[in-house]
Order: sequence, then structure tokens, then C-alpha cells
Amino acid sequence: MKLVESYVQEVSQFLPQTIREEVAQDLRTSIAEEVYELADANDREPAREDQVEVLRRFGHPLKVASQYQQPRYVIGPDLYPIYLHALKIACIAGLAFQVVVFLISGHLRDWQVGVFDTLRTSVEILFWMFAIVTSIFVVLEYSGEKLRLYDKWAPEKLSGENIGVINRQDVITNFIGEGVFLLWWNDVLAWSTWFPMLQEHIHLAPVWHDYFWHLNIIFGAAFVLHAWVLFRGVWQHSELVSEIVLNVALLAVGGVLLGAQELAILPKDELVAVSDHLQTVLRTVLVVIIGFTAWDIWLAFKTLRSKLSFSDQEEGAAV
Amino acid sequence: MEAETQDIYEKLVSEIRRGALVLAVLAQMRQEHYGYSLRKALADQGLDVEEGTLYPLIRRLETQGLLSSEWREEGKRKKRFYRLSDQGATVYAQLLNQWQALNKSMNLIVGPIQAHA
Repeated sequence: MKLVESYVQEVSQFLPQTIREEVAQDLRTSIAEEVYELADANDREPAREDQVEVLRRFGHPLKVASQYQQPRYVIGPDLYPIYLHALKIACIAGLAFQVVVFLISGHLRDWQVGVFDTLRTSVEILFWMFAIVTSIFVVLEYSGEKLRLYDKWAPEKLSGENIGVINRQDVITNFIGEGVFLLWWNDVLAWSTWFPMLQEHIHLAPVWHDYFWHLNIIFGAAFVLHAWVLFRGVWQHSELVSEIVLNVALLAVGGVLLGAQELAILPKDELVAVSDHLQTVLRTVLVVIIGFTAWDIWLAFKTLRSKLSFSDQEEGAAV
Repeated sequence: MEAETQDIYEKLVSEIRRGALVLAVLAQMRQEHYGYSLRKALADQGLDVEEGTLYPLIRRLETQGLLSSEWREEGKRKKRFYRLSDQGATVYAQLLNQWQALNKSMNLIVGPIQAHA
């Protein structure tokens, strides 16, 4: 039964050392039983085709080996949802931490960082967050330690203020956009390597400087709010109101800037010719940002209103 | 779409069969069997089980202490005979109670739907 022995060896290679010999012996006997019974049924001595037929019925060696073992996961279905959640939180926390550290370093040491270095640091942070969180959960899975989070959950702890699930892509876009703006606005992020002409020749008009702290506060608050909302995954009433207030404030500042005589200045005489075009481009960019901000306000308002009307219906039904 | 439905159906069937198969094997093991005779007994009663599923299951049940086994020679061939252990008999009785209760509930639940259909 050379064919059977080869098959048993094939199966054995996928088995852990501890059970390999025992299962191999078990399998040898089981297959031999089947081969002999098949040959008996055909009223002849066991032949090669009997072995082939029986082995075909047993199936692929890997499949049989898996049947002999308890299912093992790197991260199993019990832990996977919470692993994914933890991973998202860790990545957001890592990126938020990066922005804060860059801002503090920039202010304290008059330090600047290039776009490429910022991106590289972000990717490194995301990689390390992935490695650390995954390692922790693999250890949890293999140690057999069960997280008690599921048991600790109680419906009484729900705030009842959840309004709707966030659109994660939208909020992440806002979160990243706000982080990049804060770094740029505070002169930490240097564009010089990518756009040397812009950095050297074009400066923002004085009207922007009047709103330095206004924009820092609006974008800083929005950055924190979006990090928090990404962490929670759902909008609450107070968070949506904050979102609307911040966007209205941004709309107001954007409106004032839009009305300014000039948005950028070109110190070099030879570039005066392009000044008008530059003002137009900047105004267009501002209009687009204002448009998106207004759209965000409308979405937040719509979500808030749908929740309020739903609550009214509930109260009506209760009465 | 047809293939997707078939996939879903096959997964659900395999889930239903997985638990039922353990009960069926334990029930058959009230009498002594060796691997092939068990598979044949199950097949004769309408439950076809792949060899690659049945033999690992027998081994798992034995490792758990629900089956006991001994090697004997029969018809000039050495075979491994299995039967329900004392622990296996206790677990089998408990499982059977669960199965009967579940079966009763399912008949009540599925019955009216069948009448509708």
C-alpha cells in the first residue's frame, strides 16, 4: 500500500508533532479498512485502483489534516471585531499624537518638517500601531485569555444620545485635512521642497494674520472633535451641535476672507502680472472650501433634525 | 446569483449536519463498531459521511473520552473497535434530551410554515 503510505505522510506533514504519529497510525488503519472492504465488495484482493478510490473519498491531505485539529486562528472570530476597533483607535490616536508632537516641536524649537518626512512618519506610526495591536491580540488569542468586555456591557450604560453612525470616510478626510492644515498654518509643514516657487515668492495677505488664532481654534477643535467621533463611531447630539457651530464659525471666517481685497501678496515686481490670476485661484479655492463647509452643516443639520422628529414620534406614540 | 445561493445553502447544511453528526455517531456507538462498519451503518440509515470527516471525528470523540477503543483481529485483519464509554453514555443521554426538545420546538415552528407553503 505505497499509495496509502504516501498519503499518510502527506497528511502528517500538516499535523503538529504532538499528534503526528498517533494520527498517522489511526489514518493508516482507517484507510486500510476501507481499501479491504472495497476490495471484498468487488470480490478480489486489494488493488491500486481501490487505494485510489478510497483516497479520493478521503480528500485532500490538507483538508483531512485540518479535520484532525482544533480550529486555530491568529485572531479568532471572538476577538476580531474588537481587534479591528482597537486597531482603528490606535491608528487615529497615533496620527493625532503625531500632529500634536509636531505642533509642539514646531512652536518650541522653531522646527519645520517636509511633506515627505511627515508622510513617512505617518506611515511608520501606522505600521507600528498595526504591529503592536496585532501582536497584543495574537497573544490574547493564543493565551486563551478572554476579554471580559462583552460580559461587562450593560444596556443601562448606553447614553441614549446616539444619533447616527458616522460616515467614516468623510470624518477621516476631515481629520487628516485638519491635521495637515494645522501643521501648515503653524509653519511646521514646509512646502519648499515640493513647491519652492510658492514658498519663496508668494505670501498670504495680512488679512489672514488677523485670523491666525481664530483658525487655530476652529481647526484645533474640529481636529479633536473628529478624533473623538472616530473613536466612538457614532454621532451624539452634543457632537453634532459642536460640528455645526465649528462649521458656522469657519463659514464666517471664510466669508470675511473672501471679501478681502487681496488674499496673497507677491513681493517680486516681475510677478505682479500674475497677481490677478493668483487672487482668482485663491478665491476659487476659498469658495470650494466654503461650499464643502456649508454642505457639512446641511448634513449635520439633517441628521440632527431626523433624530428630533424621530424622538417626537416616539413621544407621540408613548402618549 | 444562483451559485451564491447554492454556496449559502451548502454552508447552512454543513452547519446543521455538524452537530447532528456527533449525536448520530454517539448513538451508533451504543453498539461496538470499527470505522468502516460505523460509516456503513450510518449510510444504511441515510446519513452519508465522508471518510475525511468521520475518522477524525471518531478520534476527536475518543480523545475527549466519549468513546473507548480496543484493537482486535477479525477476519485475519487487525481492526480498531470503538464503543460508547461511561462518560460518552452520559453525554449522549444529555445530548439526546436536547435534541428531542429542539426537535419538538422545531416541529412547532416549522410546521405552520410548511402548511402555508
